[in-house]
Amino acid sequence: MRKFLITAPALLLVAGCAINRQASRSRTIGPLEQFDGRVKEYVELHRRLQSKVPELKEKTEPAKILAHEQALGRLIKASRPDARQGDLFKPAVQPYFERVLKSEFTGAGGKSAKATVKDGNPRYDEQSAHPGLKVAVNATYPKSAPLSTVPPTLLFKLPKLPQELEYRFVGRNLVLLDTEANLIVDYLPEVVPQ
Amino acid sequence: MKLRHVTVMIHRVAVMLLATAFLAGAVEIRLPCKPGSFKFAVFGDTGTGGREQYEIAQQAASCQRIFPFELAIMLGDNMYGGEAPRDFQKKFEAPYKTLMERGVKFYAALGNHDDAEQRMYKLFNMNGERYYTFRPKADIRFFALDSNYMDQDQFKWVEKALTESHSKWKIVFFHHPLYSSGRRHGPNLELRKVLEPLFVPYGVSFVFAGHEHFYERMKPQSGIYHVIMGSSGKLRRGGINKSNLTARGFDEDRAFVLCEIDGDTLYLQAISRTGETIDYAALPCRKTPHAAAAAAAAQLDVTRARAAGSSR
Repeated sequence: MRKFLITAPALLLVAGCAINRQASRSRTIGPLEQFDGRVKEYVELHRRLQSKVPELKEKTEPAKILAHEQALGRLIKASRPDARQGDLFKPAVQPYFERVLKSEFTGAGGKSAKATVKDGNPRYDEQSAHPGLKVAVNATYPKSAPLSTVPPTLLFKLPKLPQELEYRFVGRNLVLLDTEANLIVDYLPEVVPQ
Repeated sequence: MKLRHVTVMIHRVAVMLLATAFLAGAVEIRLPCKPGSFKFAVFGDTGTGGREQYEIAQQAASCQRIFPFELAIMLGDNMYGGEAPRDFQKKFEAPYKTLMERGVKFYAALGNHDDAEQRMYKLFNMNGERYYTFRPKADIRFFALDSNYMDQDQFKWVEKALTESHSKWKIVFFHHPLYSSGRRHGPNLELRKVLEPLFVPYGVSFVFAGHEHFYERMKPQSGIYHVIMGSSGKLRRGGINKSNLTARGFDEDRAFVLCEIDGDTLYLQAISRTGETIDYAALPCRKTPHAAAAAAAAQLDVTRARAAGSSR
């Protein structure tokens, strides 16, 4: 009986701690898992639709590359006509991205990272600036617009993406770009610190 | 009669020499041009479709008659301002038609003006990959990287590919320079932070980059030679702010580079649009513990292969 009186509270304490730890962990990584899940859903859709357009060989003609890209883009757009900003970058995950970007662009090395992101950024690029480039979900990324460089130091911190998607910057927006369909899938507005 | 015959012969030889000089665009090839050596050309930031790009391509084709390079690497920004099929024609296929007809193979890296889908374009020989490696000759391996987007997957791939390579010559090419004296862009420090720790221990000898629209050869950095060749189409006149880094710079006209690897030396000649030699250097292969180990392993492979062959 005495043994029970000693061990029961201890067990309760351990169980309580475990539940608490688990709850706090889900608070921390929950939104990220949610983001990963949304990305996965999108890529599944991409792959499903990809199988409906003629297969692109590894060594092919420019006309076929363009036709494939446009056909895939049309199918994806048609499959998510109501897609809007925040579908993948849900509000819950936004503070995480903001925190990572802030840490990259401020402090030691921040100035250089900001310069890197401006390099090739279609809003600022000196050679072929597209100041009016509209950032919108389901918008086609213009072929004539350059692509911003994304510092590897930042890419190593952000959630990993499947090969169909890339993070890019347009102005101060972080864009999720489908590279095969050349479509903006989602974006986080004005997240690069001024 | 005999005199007449000799005169005709002299005339013919003179015509041939003149024609050769014309085709060579009066370029004096200083490279050793040894039989059996490995020869290649380097072009960067080409894709304007403008007159100067065509003139550079023509100059390269003239040189190729005397200096028969087998392949050319492209350092990104292969297409500026549009990538419709007609752009591929105007900005790549037409200018380099002569070279490709002579069997020169082009290997491209992606620049910040290039759609990633260029990897599927057959004449860029990227085999559907943003980053890839190829070994045109025993002991020489090229690594083409996508410096726009160095994510974890690519980084791991680079490390693995460099570690596994037994080649004596490891030549890496991509778009954004790790070192540069450019007024406009300068070096990409974030990229340098992650790539240099791989390049130094794993025996990379040469890094070719573009992005800056001029030619610059750096003094060796941590033993590695860095060359910027970003003016084969575009040009930023006066773009170099010469620094302690610069071994040789040229920002007055468009240019391209010819290279020859013979034994432990890479010979490099940079040539301007007008055929002027703007740089010439003979640079040694790096000797690192990894390179030495790799060379020993390669030798062992050869010995094993020979032994297997003789035992059959």
